[in-house]
Amino acid sequence: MAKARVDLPPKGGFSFDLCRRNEMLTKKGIQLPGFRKTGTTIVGLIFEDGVILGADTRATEGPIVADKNCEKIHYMAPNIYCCGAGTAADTEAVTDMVSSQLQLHRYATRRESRVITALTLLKSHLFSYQGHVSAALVLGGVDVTGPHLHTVYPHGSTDTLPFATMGSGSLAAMAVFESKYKEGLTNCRDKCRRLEAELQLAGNCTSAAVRRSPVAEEGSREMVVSRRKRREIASCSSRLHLLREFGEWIRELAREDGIQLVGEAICSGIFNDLGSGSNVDVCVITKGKTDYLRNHQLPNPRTYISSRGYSFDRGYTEVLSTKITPLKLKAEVVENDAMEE
Amino acid sequence: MSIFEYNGSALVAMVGKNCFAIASDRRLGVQLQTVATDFRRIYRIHDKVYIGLSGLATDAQTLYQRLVFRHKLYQLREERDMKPETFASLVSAILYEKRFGPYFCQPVIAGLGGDDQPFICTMDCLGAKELAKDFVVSGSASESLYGACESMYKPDMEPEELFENISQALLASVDRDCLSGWGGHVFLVTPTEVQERTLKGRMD
Repeated sequence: MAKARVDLPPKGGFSFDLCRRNEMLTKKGIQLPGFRKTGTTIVGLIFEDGVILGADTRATEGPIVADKNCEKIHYMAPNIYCCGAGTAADTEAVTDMVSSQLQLHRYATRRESRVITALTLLKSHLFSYQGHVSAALVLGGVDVTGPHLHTVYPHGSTDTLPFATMGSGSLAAMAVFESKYKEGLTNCRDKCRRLEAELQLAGNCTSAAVRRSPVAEEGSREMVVSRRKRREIASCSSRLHLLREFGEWIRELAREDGIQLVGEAICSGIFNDLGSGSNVDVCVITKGKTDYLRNHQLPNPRTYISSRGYSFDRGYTEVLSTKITPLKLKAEVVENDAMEE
Repeated sequence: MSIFEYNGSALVAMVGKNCFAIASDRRLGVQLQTVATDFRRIYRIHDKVYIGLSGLATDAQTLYQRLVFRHKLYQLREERDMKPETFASLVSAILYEKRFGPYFCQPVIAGLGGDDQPFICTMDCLGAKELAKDFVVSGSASESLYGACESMYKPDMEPEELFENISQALLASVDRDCLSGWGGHVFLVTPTEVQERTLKGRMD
């Protein structure tokens, strides 16, 4: 019998056995196909409590839109997400692979994954393929050391930035970020500092008013004081209460500001870059919580469908032959325990 | 000429109410010469999962044989059939393995998953999955198919209506592509039966 080579399932990694044949085809004048790219706008920014990532949702195959609502924000770890631009198969495969490696690492170390770990795994893989694995990524997450945002280029170089954009729409998005970033989000930090100063002042004010009044007791509502002093104390304590609530609200505002800025940057990419389009996906990562806002904005609804739709009569299509095969229901065999017999 | 236009093909899959339909054309050519008019592009993996392979016919056949092999091994080990989502991941992995020397195939996978929910997906020749809730297309006639399906598709169609819709979308699109046509093959799969029909189309 001739020596048979069994086609066993491969052990992993790339297989190059069709390369020679493909080279021969190219020499004969046949063009190799274009791969599905994500012609994208992807962005990331760091705000006070964490990281916000954003992406559009169009996948292209040459000039044709292959997918109007694809997902470009990939899961890496519960606290780390990654947006991908470039060849779609490469971004999906590389993020899946690093996500599995991070999971194994979490099992081994029994700790939450760090963003820098994901970054190192990605850059070493991409560098070893010298840019042929065409994946440009925006990696963001929050770990024990704080919020981090990195960009990874197909050749393996990385940047660590407070705000970043990648993909064909990156210039449109960067224009929005460069003009609005500092103004929108640092204001909140200043607001918070001013708020803390005011809280302190209000606290002093209340205690001062109470001390000044001769018969007042601390925390007591029944104070025998003059009307003016009473009004002064009332206004101070209500202000204190309001300011405390305001503090919570300010924190919310920083997050909403950030999401709005990211939405604006992606919309800028969607409307000005032809390779990006459809909807806006946003992912907000903070310490202990991640919100994946899929289709956060839908600025391009379908408006051209006829309400009647197409309806064809039954039997309208000419059929040459029909074969109907009923599907057998598969019976489940429950094996009895040997002891029962 | 592109490698995908060497043999010519048209494939489409659509989702209906608890059912799906997958359809292909029947022409096999060598560039502009027609060699066969009854070529099968849609293969059955098991009762509820079908795969259509467009692109270079030789790679489609080789890929199909490898997939059947892997599925049979899976059946022996797990003692059950593969779910369509799992099967799609398998196809994606096999295609990506050949990243730098790819198979020139674009598969369209359609199946009934858990609770008989229809599942369809397509991939480019490197295995980049595109899951859709309405329809997927592939082949040299894909540009026309996108247009036809976009306008003719309606959500939650009953099996008979789905059959008419997918057939008309296919026949309309292959009329605008020289390299595909010569009739059509449609598989309509519901949880209880499989209907396989051959369509009459223009023979040019």
